[in-house]
Amino acid sequence: MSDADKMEIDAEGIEEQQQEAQTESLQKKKKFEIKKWTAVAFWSWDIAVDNCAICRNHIMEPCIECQPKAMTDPDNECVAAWGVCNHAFHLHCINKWIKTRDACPLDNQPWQLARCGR
Amino acid sequence: MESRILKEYKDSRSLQSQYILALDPISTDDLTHWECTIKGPLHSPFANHTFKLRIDIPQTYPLTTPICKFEPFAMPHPNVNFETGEICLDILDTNWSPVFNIQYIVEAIVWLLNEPNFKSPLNLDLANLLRFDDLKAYHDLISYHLNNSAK
Amino acid sequence: MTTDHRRLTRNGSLVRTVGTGVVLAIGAGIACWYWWRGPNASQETNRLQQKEEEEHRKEREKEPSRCVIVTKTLSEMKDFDWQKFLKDDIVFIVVPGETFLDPSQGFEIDPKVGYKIIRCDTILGVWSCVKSLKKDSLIVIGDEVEGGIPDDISNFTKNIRDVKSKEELLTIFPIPF
Repeated sequence: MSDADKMEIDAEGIEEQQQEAQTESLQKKKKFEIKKWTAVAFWSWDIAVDNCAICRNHIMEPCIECQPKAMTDPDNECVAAWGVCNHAFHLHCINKWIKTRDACPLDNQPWQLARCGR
Repeated sequence: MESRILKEYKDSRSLQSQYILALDPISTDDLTHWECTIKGPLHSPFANHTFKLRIDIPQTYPLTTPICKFEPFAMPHPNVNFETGEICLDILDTNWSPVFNIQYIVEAIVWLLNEPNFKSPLNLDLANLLRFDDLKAYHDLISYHLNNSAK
Repeated sequence: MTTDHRRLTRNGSLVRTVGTGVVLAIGAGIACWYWWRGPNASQETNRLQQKEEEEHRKEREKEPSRCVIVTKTLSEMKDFDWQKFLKDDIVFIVVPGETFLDPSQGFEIDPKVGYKIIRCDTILGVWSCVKSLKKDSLIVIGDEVEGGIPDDISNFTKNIRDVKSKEELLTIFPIPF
């Protein structure tokens, strides 16, 4: 606020007095006062898809075959896998598919694993 | 991958589509055999006719493609074998991806009715009519077969 | 077992009476079963035979399906009642450049049979239709078809009638009196 005012004062010297008087009055009598505020934030997974397009389970949850086991065996390693195309699937799902055809199911480009994990 | 088909079954209960009139498993005890009724697309020789599709889901689905067929002697189309109802469509063959689902396949088949491809024919005579660019004969011959088999 | 047997043979008359009774009862049962079963089974086969014969008769009586190629001579017979023949198992394939029962010429065709007229833009299209339809017989004035009748057509239709004159045509499509 003050920065903007200064610039105006510099540019238009004639209004200097008036502007100063206004600023003073604003400081004396605030029109609005923030008494309370609540912050809201949204979040989402930073990946191209959130469901594995092969088994339709969420990528951060176990794949459809590991799902029943996950209840009894929490150590079960069912991880997500990203290709260089940035498409993500469960590692179990994509490994089964590339035996049929070595291509990303979403863009049909040759599948190259970039990383895997949670 | 039995439960992916279960997911698709649940989704199919709320399915709304202009051309898919019905999409149901033949028995709810066994989700590997489905029957679908589609409407011929407007502005195609198939408009005002309905067709039944039989869809068989293999155990390896969605890693391998479902088998889709029209009823025998019901679909005169360049890419459908008239006697057997077998369909030639790239996504049901080499271009299959596990991303596709049953509804997507059916929609692709409806699309195929309007976009025949004479380069991969299963009905040589109809494909040739397209090749000769004889659209009048193409429409009339399809119409003949549709009305003749309807009797 | 052997002691039992010996004891039973001592009461020979009882065994004989009971034995005869059992044998007679079984015999009567079998006889009755055949008596019931026999006529029914033969009735069934009779019925099947009759049905089969009837189907054969229908097949023989069924008029052969026909495919007619509409060329100049047919097209010019405007006053002829072609619509009468549309009720049959028949298809009229109209060659390019000719008209046949054309709605634009005032013909009103029953929509239930109108599909039996196929109009073509190419002569190759005409032959593709003939091949696709596979009718019992093909009626065509070969001299009026550009390029004549292709050799391979005989693989798709049993009987090719190459008509030479309008008179011959009228014998195929007789005018009722």
